[in-house]
Amino acid sequence: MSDIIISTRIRLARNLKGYPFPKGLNKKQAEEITEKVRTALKPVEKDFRFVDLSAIDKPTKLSLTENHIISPEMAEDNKCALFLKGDNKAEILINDEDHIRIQTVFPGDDIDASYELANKLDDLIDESLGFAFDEKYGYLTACLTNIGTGLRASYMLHLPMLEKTKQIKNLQNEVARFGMVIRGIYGEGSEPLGSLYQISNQLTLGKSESEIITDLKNVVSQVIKKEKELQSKIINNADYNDMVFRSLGLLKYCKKISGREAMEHLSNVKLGITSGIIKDMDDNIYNIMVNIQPGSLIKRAGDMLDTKRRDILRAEYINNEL
Amino acid sequence: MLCQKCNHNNATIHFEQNINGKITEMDLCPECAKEMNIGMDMNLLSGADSLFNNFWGDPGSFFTLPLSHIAKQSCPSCHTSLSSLINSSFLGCTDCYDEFGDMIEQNLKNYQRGTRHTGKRPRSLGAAPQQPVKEQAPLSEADKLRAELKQAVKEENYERAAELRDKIKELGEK
Repeated sequence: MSDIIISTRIRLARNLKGYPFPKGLNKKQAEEITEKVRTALKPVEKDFRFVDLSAIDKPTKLSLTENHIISPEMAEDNKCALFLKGDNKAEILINDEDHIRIQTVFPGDDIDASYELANKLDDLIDESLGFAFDEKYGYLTACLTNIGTGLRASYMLHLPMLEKTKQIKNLQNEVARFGMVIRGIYGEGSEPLGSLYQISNQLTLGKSESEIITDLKNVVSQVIKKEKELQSKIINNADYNDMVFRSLGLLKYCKKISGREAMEHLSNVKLGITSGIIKDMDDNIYNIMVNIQPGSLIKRAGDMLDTKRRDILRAEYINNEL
Repeated sequence: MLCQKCNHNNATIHFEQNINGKITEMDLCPECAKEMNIGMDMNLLSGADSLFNNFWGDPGSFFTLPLSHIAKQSCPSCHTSLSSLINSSFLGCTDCYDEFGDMIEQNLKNYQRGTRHTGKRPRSLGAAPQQPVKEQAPLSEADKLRAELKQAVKEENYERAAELRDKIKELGEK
């Protein structure tokens, strides 16, 4: 099952009393909040490094965005700051939409561990700062869509067969009935790149954290069951075998490839591995997908790259990995 | 600024009335505004992002005041106006939750599962305030059997279901 689940994430939105929400903060207030959080994190300071977003270069920002650590808006806002855990499993965002956002991400199927870590960090920061909380509405947030638990729990999934059989739209309607939402991770609109999707809760008020997570788990297990059923039928199918091995061959020997084309073929190869069409190959595909995004390529090259040079470097990198 | 009517509370609503070109302006507290039946103008809503029409429910049912009234309510702490809240669904600070309480309450019902938080409390606040605990009445014998019957039918165990049905009937006759 873990081959379909790429990772699990938890986000908790928290705010401090006595300050306007981040949109209305001036630079001095924003810095005060950053300093308060730094002090609150003292007991775990050796685990976290501080990233001053106004001081880092563009490629690093771009790669933080591609890794879903910060939002594109946050990259442009000089009031924001970031504390990043050394193993990349947690980050604390300061002055994004809310004063404090605790985010954790665990590879594979481990939403309980994700929540446990976020919950611990939540207690730690609350202990010294005291979060804005209302007995009726729960944790107060800048946007009403996050009020209550402030919790967004999500799974990142690889759903190539549901996509190829055009069932994503149905799925969207189905998960919406449970107060959840499914959306593509890379790319815009109806054709997300790499068949990567995120399913997360949309409702944050009126359900407890454990209810939200349990409901999400149930919905995700249904989605995975459907995807698995479809994948089990293709192992002896000549068309799918041809598609998968063509993609593998192309990725191994291409000399220049665009991001869009690479994502499509990488997704096919990943499908080949999880469905059993390709045997004896480690599933490292998701990491490759992350590392061929423009920001990551530029960061590794240490130089801004034009599109053609990027496509050449991307092909080289994929040839080596496969 | 004090309310121009009661001269007692803080004025957070600016009110303008235009009758045949004669403009009257007043700054009022929410209580006096309510008393005078002053609320939101439909015109303020026309600028609202259509995405949030759904979010804020049917505007017609909530904002039912005459078009000649223009009232601007704003948060005393951060000066976020009600109209900007309607446009964006973003609040300016935690005090906005008090200032726009009724409005938020009305619309959360459409948007979230409920209007009451049932999850975690910050540890820094200590134990939750005591709330009367509702005691559930114990299930009667017949209710227990009915639940069992339901389960038996679900499992297609019709023999057991028939047995249970007879037992329930028996209980009813006593």
